[in-house]
Amino acid sequence: MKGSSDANFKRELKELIIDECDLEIGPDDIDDDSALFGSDSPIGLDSVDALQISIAVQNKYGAVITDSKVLRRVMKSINTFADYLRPE
Amino acid sequence: MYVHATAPYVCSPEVEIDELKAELKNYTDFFFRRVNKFIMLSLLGVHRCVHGKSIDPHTAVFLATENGNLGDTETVLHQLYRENSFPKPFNFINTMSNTASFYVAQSLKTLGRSITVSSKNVSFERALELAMADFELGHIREALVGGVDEAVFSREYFSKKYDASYHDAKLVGGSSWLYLTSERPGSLGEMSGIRTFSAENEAIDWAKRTSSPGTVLAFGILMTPLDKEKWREEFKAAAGMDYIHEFGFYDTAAAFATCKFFESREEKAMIHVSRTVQGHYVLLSCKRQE
Amino acid sequence: MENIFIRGRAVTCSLGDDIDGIIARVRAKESAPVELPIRIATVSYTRPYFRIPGGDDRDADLEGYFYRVLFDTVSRAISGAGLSKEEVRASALFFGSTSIDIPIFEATYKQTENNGGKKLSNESPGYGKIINEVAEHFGITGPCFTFTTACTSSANCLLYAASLIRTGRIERAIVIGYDLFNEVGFYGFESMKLIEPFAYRPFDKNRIGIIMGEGCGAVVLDAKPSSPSGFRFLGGSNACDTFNVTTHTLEGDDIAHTIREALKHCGLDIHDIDAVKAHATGSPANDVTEYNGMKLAFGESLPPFSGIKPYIGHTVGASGVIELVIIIESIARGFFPATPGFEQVDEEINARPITEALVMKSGTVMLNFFGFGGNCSSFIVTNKE
Repeated sequence: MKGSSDANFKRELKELIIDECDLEIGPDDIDDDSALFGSDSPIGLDSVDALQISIAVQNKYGAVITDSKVLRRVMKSINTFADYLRPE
Repeated sequence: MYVHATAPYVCSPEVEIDELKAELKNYTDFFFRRVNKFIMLSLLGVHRCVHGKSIDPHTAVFLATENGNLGDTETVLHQLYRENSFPKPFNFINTMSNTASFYVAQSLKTLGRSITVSSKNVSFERALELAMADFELGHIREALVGGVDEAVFSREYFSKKYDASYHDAKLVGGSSWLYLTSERPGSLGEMSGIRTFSAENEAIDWAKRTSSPGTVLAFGILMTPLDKEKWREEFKAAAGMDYIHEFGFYDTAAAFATCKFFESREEKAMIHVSRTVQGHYVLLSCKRQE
Repeated sequence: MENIFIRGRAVTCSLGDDIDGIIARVRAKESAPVELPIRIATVSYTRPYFRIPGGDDRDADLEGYFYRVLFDTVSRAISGAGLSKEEVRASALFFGSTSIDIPIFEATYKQTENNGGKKLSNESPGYGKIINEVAEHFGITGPCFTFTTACTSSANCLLYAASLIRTGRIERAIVIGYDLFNEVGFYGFESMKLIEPFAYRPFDKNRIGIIMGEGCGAVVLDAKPSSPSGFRFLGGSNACDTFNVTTHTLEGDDIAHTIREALKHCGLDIHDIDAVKAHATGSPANDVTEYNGMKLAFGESLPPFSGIKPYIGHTVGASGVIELVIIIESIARGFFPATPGFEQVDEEINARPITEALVMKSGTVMLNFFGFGGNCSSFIVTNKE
């Protein structure tokens, strides 16, 4: 199953992000399609958050992302991130 | 250096970061995340000190600490050597203890000097010396000087480190801050001198010259019961201010003693006597505004 | 304003510990990074690093090696200053470092099994331990200060040593900057994707990041000169940019403020500065911010500037003292070093560091340092009359 079609997987990702970035919100507060980073984003993560999350997914899912531009692209939203980690 | 606000603070060694965070919310609306216990302790201490005061944007921050960010450094060492993981960025950034003074400055919107300094057993006194030099040279007009340390975890190691028995002092965490300015009017009092002596008799002479009737003595952790007895006899002083016995010990507790003195509103002046591991005496004198 | 003289000075870095040899290699634009492995979980590759030559057996006794490099560097600075035994004894000590004793704790961690214990938290001797060891080794009884302000640590040591001399609290200070290789820093910078995998090239269009280095530097600041024609430490400034814990305000406002304050405290004007030693870490963000800050402060009168980390790596907390020694020893030999590695102008910022050394026998130069935690430091030295 594609990552973006798996509600449980996406919830797991949201919990990871909340935990790693020390956010005071719940998983339901993160929209699957809205931006995770930048000033347009409701949760407004920054570049260090992105790095923090990348190390966490490397440890948890074995996904190594070395290029920070790629990192930013795949972490656009929960849906894009879930699909990157689980393409099918 | 005139004292305009003080806040002595100690907490239980087992205090959780969430408890500190909840307490901090009583003093500031500023939103903090990605910070550790040491940083949270620093923030809580400083916001208790400046609460309700407007702070000049050029205020300098001097954070004195013996041990700094132990927790995150430990975490990163565990990530590297026990979990086979890259350091997590936030933990890594927080291994640098000056992130605490950064968050202090950020939350107070100050852009003055930001210094984190340490000196075995006299970190707070040395931080005050740096601030004093800046005041004298006219480089600063306002400063926040604090002593922040998490609790020492091991009593055994405590005894080894200080070559002293643990007595009955309880180990606590602490974050005690003074707000100092160059303006005398409206102040609680003044930090009148910091001096270092290699000979005890010279230290006693200076203390005698500096003190007046009503000066209370307070002692650092390396002063033994015999030492304290001797000083008290020299000064014909009463019991003195045994803050370590009463409130517990943390590595920069001289900051706590100083804040407590200004808060107590009893004695007119205080001389705090620390002995260093090298056997020198570092004396700190402060006076209440008459 | 009273003079503060830079008497003795010594450095141990990737270019060695012999100052003539080091400066000859700086003049020749030589540098020698080595490739070190990055091995974590399934990942395995290398990144460059500027390592102190020799000491290949250091892991056998890391603590011994740590103190050997430190004591040896300090000892050369003391003998270079020609201090008497009594002058040494009465000196104050300043120590600036990012990693402090982390290298020693890493060695302990590597040698012990996972027992779930909190080794560091339980047994940390405190940041002040290292400088106390220096005091004991050299029989020094003056006050000891340890600064932990990340990459500005030893730069701030110099500023405050000078302030304590100026206010008469101390007569002389031995100021040390020291950071030895440690995996917390090396892997930490890599996990922040800050390490340049190819060539070190600050301000260049194709710069990717920082190449770290290790080193120890020591200088003696003194109210008394050892020779009439030496360098003087004029003063400087420190400020905190509270924009973000890892990066500075893009526009460089706080960097400009720090530079202006440094000039003011030294009673100088922008036209008095002959050259600027930039912090120039080579990280995409830092170089933009720093150049913007310099432009704001100097405007049209921006003097020639250069970054010298490509010679020795970014020695983090030690960089304040190490880069000061390299700059003044270069001027003492008639030149101000160029920025090696810089080839292509980045049109976005249009910064142009010097690519050939300037002829300079005497000069007034500014040295700038910036770091994590928003820390900005700037100071000025001169050997002009």
